[in-house]
Amino acid sequence: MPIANHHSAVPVTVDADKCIADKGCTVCIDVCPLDVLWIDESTGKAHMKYDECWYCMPCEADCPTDAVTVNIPYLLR
Amino acid sequence: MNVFHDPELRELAERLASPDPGLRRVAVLDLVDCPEPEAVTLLIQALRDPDPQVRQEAAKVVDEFESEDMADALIAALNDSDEVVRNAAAHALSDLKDPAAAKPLLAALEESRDPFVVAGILRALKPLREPAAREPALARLEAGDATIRREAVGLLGWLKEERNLPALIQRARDDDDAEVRRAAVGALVYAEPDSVAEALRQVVSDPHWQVRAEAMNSIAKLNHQDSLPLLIEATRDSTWQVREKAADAIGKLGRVEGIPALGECSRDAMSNLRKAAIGALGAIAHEQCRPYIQTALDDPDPDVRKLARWAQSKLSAA
Repeated sequence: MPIANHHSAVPVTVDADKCIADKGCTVCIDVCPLDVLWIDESTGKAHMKYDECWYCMPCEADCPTDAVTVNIPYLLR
Repeated sequence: MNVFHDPELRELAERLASPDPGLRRVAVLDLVDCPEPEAVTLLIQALRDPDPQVRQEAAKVVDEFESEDMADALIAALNDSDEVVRNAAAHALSDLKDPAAAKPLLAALEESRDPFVVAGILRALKPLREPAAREPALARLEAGDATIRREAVGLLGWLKEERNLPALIQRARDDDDAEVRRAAVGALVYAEPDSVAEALRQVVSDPHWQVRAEAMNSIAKLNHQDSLPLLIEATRDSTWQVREKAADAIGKLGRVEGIPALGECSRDAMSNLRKAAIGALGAIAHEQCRPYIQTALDDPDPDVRKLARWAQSKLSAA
């Protein structure tokens, strides 16, 4: 899996203002079957570390604060 | 603060006592995964949290815990300022089915003015089949809010008392709200069939199709043989859902006189209705059904064909 170490558009975006990962929440990280969501050490918020996604949606659906958005590519919609 | 022996609980209790509501909220999220039965005391604490988001989070997970341990907290939560919390509390209370909860629920009903809360309490009282709930429920049949009337009708239906029938019949016929009428028609099924026959005869011409469909269901459940002409007429209803329920009901009554009407339905454009008709013809399993069942063996809908084969086997067994 390629590591996304420079900023680019990834399918899963997290609204840092809403995200409560810094309070200890790990819901999206726990539900992700690909383990591509991690906590950003600098902000304490969740982010997509690896640019891989099955678009399975639990991260968006289960987020207690509705901070996660999964952008499904047009051809998959 | 309670002292817990389990280290996981102790840690959660500390986080739930944190001054930061965000931390408390996340602690509630983790509480769900805690297998210890004492976790429920922490959940009760969270249901009383000053922060509405913590209470909301706690309310979302009340289903995961044994409700009887938190009946009091849930009843208190029925008056929460937050609607999500109130809704979850009413929902959890209706799962409770603990006769001991009846008293506090009735007391809460007395106190409550908010339509949403009143409806939730009535819904929670319903499965308890508490005779003392009769009077307050009858009073709520006149409530301005339709959801309250609907829940009151449901509660009276569950009580299955002969003397409540006139009130239920009145709701089934005259309520302004279709959903209340539908619930009332559905609630009549505990009656002596002849005592509600007249009411059913009136509601089968209700302007709302769901009420008519429910009336078909009720006739089938009551097994009211004298209502067969109503059912046959309803197989020509303008709404196919009503025709479908009527066909079902004729099958349940098992009456040979209904076969021509069912045959008509078995040629309907709506495949769900054809399915119901063939199912009913199979249930009657009379020689007169054979031509319709035979035709249905070549129906374009596979479900209808499947049912036709079953009906055919019923015929040859009969």
